[in-house]
Amino acid sequence: MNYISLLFFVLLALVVLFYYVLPKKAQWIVLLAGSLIFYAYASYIALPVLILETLAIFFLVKKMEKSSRKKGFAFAAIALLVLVLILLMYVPALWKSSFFTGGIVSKLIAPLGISYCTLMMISYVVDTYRETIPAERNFAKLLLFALYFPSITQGPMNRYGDLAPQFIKEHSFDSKRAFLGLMRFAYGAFKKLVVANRVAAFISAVNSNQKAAGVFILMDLILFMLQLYSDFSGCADMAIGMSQILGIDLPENFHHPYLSRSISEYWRRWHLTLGSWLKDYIYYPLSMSPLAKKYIKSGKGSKKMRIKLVSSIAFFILWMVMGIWHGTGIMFVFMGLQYAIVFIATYLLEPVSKKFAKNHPKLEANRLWKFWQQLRTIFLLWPIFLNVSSPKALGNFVTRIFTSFHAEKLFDGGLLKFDLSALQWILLLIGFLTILIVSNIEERKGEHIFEIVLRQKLWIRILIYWFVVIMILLSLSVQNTEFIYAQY
Amino acid sequence: MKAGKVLLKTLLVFIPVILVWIFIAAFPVYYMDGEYSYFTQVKEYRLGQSKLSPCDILILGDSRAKSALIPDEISDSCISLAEGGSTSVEAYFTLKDYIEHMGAPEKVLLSVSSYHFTSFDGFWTRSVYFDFLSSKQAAEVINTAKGFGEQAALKEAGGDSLLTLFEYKIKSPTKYMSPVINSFGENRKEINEEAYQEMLDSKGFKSFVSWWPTSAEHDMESFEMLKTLDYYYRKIIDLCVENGIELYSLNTPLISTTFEDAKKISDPFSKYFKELKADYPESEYPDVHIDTEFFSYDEQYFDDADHLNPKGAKKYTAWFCDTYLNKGGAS
Repeated sequence: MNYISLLFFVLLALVVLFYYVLPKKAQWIVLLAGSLIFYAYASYIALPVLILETLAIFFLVKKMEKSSRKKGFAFAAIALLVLVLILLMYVPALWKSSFFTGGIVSKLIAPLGISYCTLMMISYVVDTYRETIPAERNFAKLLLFALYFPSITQGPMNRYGDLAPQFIKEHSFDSKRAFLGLMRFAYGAFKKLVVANRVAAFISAVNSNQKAAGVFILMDLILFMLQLYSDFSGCADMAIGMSQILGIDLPENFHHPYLSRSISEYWRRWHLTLGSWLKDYIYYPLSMSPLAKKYIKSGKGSKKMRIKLVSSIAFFILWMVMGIWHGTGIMFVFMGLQYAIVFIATYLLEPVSKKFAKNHPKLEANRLWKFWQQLRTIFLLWPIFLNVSSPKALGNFVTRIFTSFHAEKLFDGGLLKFDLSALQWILLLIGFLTILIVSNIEERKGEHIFEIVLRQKLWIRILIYWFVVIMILLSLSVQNTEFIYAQY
Repeated sequence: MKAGKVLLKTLLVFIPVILVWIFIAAFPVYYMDGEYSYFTQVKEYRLGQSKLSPCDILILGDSRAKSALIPDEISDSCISLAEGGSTSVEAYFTLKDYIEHMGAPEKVLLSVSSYHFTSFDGFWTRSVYFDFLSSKQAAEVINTAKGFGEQAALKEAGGDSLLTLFEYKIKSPTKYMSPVINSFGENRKEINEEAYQEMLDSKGFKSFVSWWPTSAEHDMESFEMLKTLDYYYRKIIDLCVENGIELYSLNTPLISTTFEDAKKISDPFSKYFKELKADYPESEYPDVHIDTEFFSYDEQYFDDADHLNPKGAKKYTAWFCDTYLNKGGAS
């Protein structure tokens, strides 16, 4: 069920209605019912598998809490989660067999939100093992955490300690909050429909055209960054917006990543919840493991170098996990490798860049220099591997860019041959500029755009709302594609 | 903010949506393309809402039928109700409504190309989109397809079929914004009025030149007939038998390249019609005439890979009249 569909609007409206009309103690039950309906519609065959998996984790964690062999139970729970993920996502993709192509089995492959659900449940297991949160006593509440419908499609990735207390809390209808939530949802839909879907239409047309000139392939690769951001952050806005209507705060997942001036800053702004998950459950456990500590203390060579080596290995594993988590093809391994190399190089060169910044304070304050840094960061983290299916396809793209670029085709009407008319390109440009302006305003003011909008005069507010609504309406003419991250 | 105030504000925000929705529902001729009028004309006629009087001979089928049989050459009382992308589904409901509102015709000429036995083709993009089929009729087709386990073939991308139907029927902007945008800068009302008049003048006959270079048969690897489409084809025959209508199930000629492409499916295609013929033997059903084979015409009679040009249509119509009508004595 797509978030931008009539059926979903009906479901959301009913959930909101019952949520506030029924006794407050039943609010979490309404959310669970809504989440079960949402998931069953997407994959009623996979739903029992996720319920059983959650049930197993529920019992294992309860046992773990009382047991003296906590580590064993934690290991078993994590192994189960990883095994289910491997069985449902990686085995069918890597083992080409007719067994996976027909009947019920095919409907179990890569079910909605499996990757997100797995990581969220791992964090639940580890946090209860670390005793930072108590184990859940009510299975239904744990199931709600796993299947919470606003965020199951593509995050934000929740932590049990943050979300569970909000499910139990009794929420009264707050009209201002609800209105802000609605606007946030609308802005997410704006990003998805006005920008992401249009770029998707162009990319799909270019990718399927074996004769597309190099200039369009280059555009395709560059615009994919825009599609990825507007699709992914648009969905996060919608998830946060609808939760806001329900009185629930979800963590922010994006903070204008393309305004980052360094790689590390980028990862503090892009897919924040995945970044913090990787840090808490991969990087720290690895870099602070007894083995790592023993090596750092071993006294062989410089301690600084030993720390750097341990951190680099931890970073490498972290980024490879990140790449593989995203998908099953070789391109995802390359993506992990790309980020690992870029990130480790940046980390190792950090003292040099810090020294440079210290010695050139004027340059650091220069707008052009800042812009160059942003551009460099974007270029280094170009998600090129997500847009092509194989190394061969990438090679084909690169060859065509260099052998048949044909820049003149941009201006002789060639651009209009890829599913977007002149009007659609204009609407895409307006959408892109809107996101850019909003990002810059939010960055400068440090608050969300609709908080700022709410302080404006009524007629200005109405004009802004109508602009968003009309742009969305005009974008319904473009085919609504699935969210990119919904497949992860 | 109180809840009432929020509701009011929300309504104010969504005023553009309300206005656009009203425009979509109330003024289709201002944004739909000309094909809308072809379908509207047939719909109005079959429901008895047109100025045209009832005809003795009806032509039903898809665009190949529409471009192959010239009503005026067949009889003064003949009209073509064939439509592009139509299958037996559209043909059945057209005939059913016609009988109900205009009375039974004497003869029905039915021609559906092989592709339209394997795909619902224009069900969503034309029949539902142009409101050609009523909600009840479309829902019946969806449920029939479900009954045959063919819901996947009928499903529009990204949704449950009945829900998709509901979205079309309430004229949701999610379904109709595309033509609204595409109509910018065009006088679609004039285009629609001209198209409507053109159909009235030609009695539903139209020549097509499709933009695609090859025919549907070119891409068909096999003839995998949908049970739903067979079901409705048989329902048409039954309807004709029940109402004493002479039925001519025809295969319009193919251009030589398409004829070559069609060889890979000609055996199962012919087999289907032979089985149909066996189920309705002429001894028992003297008014049911079924063509069973593909045949071809020279290239000069075509303007594209699918459709006969007017010269080809004249030739085929004459052949039909000579073979069936004049022979049978009733014209």
